Amino acid sequence: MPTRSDTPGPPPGGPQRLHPFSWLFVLLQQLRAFAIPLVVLLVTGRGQSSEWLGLIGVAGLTALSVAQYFTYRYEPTAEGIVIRHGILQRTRRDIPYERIHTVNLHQTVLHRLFGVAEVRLESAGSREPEAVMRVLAMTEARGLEELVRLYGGARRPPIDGIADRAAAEEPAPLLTLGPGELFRLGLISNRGMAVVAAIVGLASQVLMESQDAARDSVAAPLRAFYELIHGFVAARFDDTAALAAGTLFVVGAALALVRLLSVVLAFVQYHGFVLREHERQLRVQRGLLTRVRHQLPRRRIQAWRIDETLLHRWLGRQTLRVDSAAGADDERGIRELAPVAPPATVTELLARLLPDARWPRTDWRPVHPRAWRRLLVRPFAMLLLLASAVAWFEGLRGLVVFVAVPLLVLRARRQGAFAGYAIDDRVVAVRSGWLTRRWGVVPIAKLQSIRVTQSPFDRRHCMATLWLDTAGAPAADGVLRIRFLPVDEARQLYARLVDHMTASSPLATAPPVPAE
Amino acid sequence: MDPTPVDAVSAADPTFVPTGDDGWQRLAPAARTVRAIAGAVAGAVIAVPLAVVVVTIAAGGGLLWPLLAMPAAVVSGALAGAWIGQARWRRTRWRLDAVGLYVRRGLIWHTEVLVPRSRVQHLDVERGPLERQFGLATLVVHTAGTQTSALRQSGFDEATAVALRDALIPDAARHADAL
Repeated sequence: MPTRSDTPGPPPGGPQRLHPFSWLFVLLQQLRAFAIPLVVLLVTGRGQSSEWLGLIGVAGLTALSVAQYFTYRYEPTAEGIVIRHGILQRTRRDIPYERIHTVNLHQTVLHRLFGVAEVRLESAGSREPEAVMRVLAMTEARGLEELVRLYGGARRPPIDGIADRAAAEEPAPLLTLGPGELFRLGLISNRGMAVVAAIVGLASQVLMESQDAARDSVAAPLRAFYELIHGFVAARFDDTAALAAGTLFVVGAALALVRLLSVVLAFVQYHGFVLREHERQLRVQRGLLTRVRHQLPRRRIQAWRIDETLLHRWLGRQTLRVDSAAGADDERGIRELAPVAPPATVTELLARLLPDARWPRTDWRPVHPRAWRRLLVRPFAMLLLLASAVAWFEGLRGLVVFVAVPLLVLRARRQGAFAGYAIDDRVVAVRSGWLTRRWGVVPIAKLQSIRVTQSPFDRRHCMATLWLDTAGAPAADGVLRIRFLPVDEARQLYARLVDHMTASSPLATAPPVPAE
Repeated sequence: MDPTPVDAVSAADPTFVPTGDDGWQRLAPAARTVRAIAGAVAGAVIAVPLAVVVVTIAAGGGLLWPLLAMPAAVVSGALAGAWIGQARWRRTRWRLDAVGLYVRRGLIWHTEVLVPRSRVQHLDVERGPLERQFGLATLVVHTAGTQTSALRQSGFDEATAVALRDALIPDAARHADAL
């Protein structure tokens, strides 16, 4: 099998096969898909015939996997990658290099033992990868990655230089995460919570269905633990104090456990995190057991986001993320450029990757001075609901809830004061939050449409919301917007954005934002 | 209401600039009827279960009340729906200029959207059964965006919708802006 680095220049000759062991991984994939039917067959079927059926099924799948290996061919041409596959129905798929947004390399432990990787070619907006190559030798996968990088750009390099450049060393990393950073990442991110939620859901399901005896056997150690604490405190204080202490202890222990789990998960997912820039293409590699390798051309980045929760601030860290049209989730593309990094590093990264951001900006403009009153509406409504619910059960004591009012006012005031935006000829930036602060930066050339909305509340306060719609804004974060703009300012901003959006189109003489 | 002059739009002219006050135009007059009909149907449909709930709560087990209340609910629901439908029509304005397509709409939540010409990915003209009856069409402008991945506006004259589509068709020279 020829490796890319010793072939002279691109379209290296002819169609190529997958790795000789690829049938094994295809088989494993299929077994996973058929695992449940197979198990059901084995469990429900009585006698030996079901086992025979299962064996026949596995043998059939193996034959199918081998046949797939022999019928799958891929061919890098000058225009793109051509894939031919199919046993009875032959399919030919042409994927132009320009359409490939990222080449994702996915390696589980088994892949790494064999020195192979699953390669996924992703294009913009599609739900499924454009092509999945299961599996390629690591050298081939790197070669393909390089080919897409060199040929996917606007300018194609001269053919003779490619071999040297493809063989060149990887550039120095922009960011790596050591154990200390991984530990902080685990503390900050609440990844553990998701796992706990899943476990609780699963456990409750199982416990509900199993007998009481089984329920006791699982819950017994917990109960014994609680009794121990309870007894210990009760021997010294009265019952209420014992209960409070017990509860505090159990809750505290549970929270600590979740954070510990988060740290472990951070180590598993982000061990060996490296961010590199290779000639305008960003590459991220990470993972302890399953190692993934994503890449993203800089010009495909649509928007930049910086997050800073209270925990981030206490630990002196921030998170830098990007939106891109391909792969709105971590599995399919680069989301986090810096999962956790000191603000200075984030600033450095932005200065290097998006100089137009002029980060950190000093020209923040405030939103409407009455914004805090709007921010108070929803918490107040919630508080009223809560107060009436408590009063229903507890009578006048429900009014105690209203001690939260000063806190809510403080929160709204701080949020209103922090909220703001900044704009110049190249980018728009938005910031919001109080305890959790968020910043968003969008190159104006990447805006897809502009929307101004006014709710009845907005109209009463002469405010408007400006939505900065870009491609690939993930559902969890939403489209960036500037809320509570004074109406005339919104108009000016709108007109200005329209000017720059059209001016930055490639038809105009002005050079577009750093995109190629 | 001033009806939109249909001939303000000509499919033959690619650099089409609309006429009218400040370039903002209303939807086709026929669309008002269609909106009212659609609104009336929706209003009537929503009114029925509401009336059932109210009647069962208010008037114990009597038979006369439901007999009277049902038609009244349906009629008032249809009337309210029709009024909302035509009010929406009245609020909706659009404009096409060198920059792109603007649409203003919304009865209570006001919205103005601009899709610049350079950001148009592709366009659809759709004609539903009711729309076909009245010679209307819906224009759908697709962008690469998330929130406005498709700007859908119904109530254009068929000729206007087609002319708008032709005027907004992405230029092949703009490929560098594509994703």
